[in-house]
Amino acid sequence: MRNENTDDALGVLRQADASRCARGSVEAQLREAFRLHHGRRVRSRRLIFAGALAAGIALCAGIWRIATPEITVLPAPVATLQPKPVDPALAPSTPSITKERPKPVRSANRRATPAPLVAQPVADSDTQTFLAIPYAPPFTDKDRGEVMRVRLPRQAIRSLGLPVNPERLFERVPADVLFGEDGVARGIRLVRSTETK
Amino acid sequence: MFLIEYSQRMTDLTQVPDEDLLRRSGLGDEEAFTALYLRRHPTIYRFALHMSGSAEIAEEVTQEVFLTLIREPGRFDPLRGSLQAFLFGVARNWVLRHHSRDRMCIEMNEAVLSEAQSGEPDLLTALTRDESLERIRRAVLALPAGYREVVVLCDLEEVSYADASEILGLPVGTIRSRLNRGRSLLYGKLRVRCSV
Repeated sequence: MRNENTDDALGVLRQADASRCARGSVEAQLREAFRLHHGRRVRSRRLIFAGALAAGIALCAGIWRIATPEITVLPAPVATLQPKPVDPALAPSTPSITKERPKPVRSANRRATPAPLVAQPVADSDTQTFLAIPYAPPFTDKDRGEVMRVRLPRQAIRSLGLPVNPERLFERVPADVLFGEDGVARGIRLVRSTETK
Repeated sequence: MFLIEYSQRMTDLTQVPDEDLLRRSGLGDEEAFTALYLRRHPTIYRFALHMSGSAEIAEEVTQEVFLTLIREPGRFDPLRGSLQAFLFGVARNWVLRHHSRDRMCIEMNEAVLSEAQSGEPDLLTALTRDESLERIRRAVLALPAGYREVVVLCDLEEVSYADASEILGLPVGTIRSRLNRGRSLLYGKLRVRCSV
């Protein structure tokens, strides 16, 4: 009986307060707090993302710069190379080149490789421009270069694309050959000479 | 058109379980949070109201409970119990903070209880409607905090013994015994009021 009375009393209170809830202002304040909280989180996430992205870009740029060697693009040494002049006074006694048979010149195009017969020190030449030997490696500014004066058959000069009188194919003409550090000929310069075979 | 779409969306969210609403709220879904608030806050408010006797404190407690959900949604562990039980637990802590601060608890005199154990008139017939509600509220507020919270949870908010055990951190047997004791104390208080 006592419990029933207590239960009834509590039941009355429960029913009377069933619809009670907080005022609308509480909901409004909580929604504002929600927006503030998540707005701050989004901003901080964006800042972190932007910082990480910037750091990643900087890191990639640094790695790329370190990994990429410095490449200097040189123009093709066609008819613009100036050989080092050799003191003519030294020529007879101290030739810049030996009279021995020179090293064989390797070239991708054997026909373009001249056959030096007589090597003479280089004096002033009448021509200043070298013709690039086809398929030869490019002449870089690191190559000190050495010029050797040779006498080439006109047939060899024809392989460079120059016109040659067919009747004089086997005549020899003086020419300067420009060699790189590796001993491979890079260019040829014809020399006007009064000598004739 | 916007209101229709809004109401439809809110209707859709009513079918979503509490845990999913909380998860979506944690990801920034304001509508999910609002749906969860509208669904759960009345019981939290009434619990705080019956425990403190103050609507102002009840609103403060309600606000603090849901601010906890906004700031620390990860505190809720679904393996430990329902979200409702978690919310009641947080509300209880806030109510106890207010209680220790405001000293609103009125200790029940055991002597009054012993006097009420014999001769039991029908209480409801002796009380008018307006007075009865007020007296019942005061009687509940007059219960010691340990009994009051059990009575409020189980009798007024109809929380199960298992959830009450989770909320209060007490065994189910203790919940039952405190509930019986609390009801007896409540009856004695009401009986005394009726006798006066």
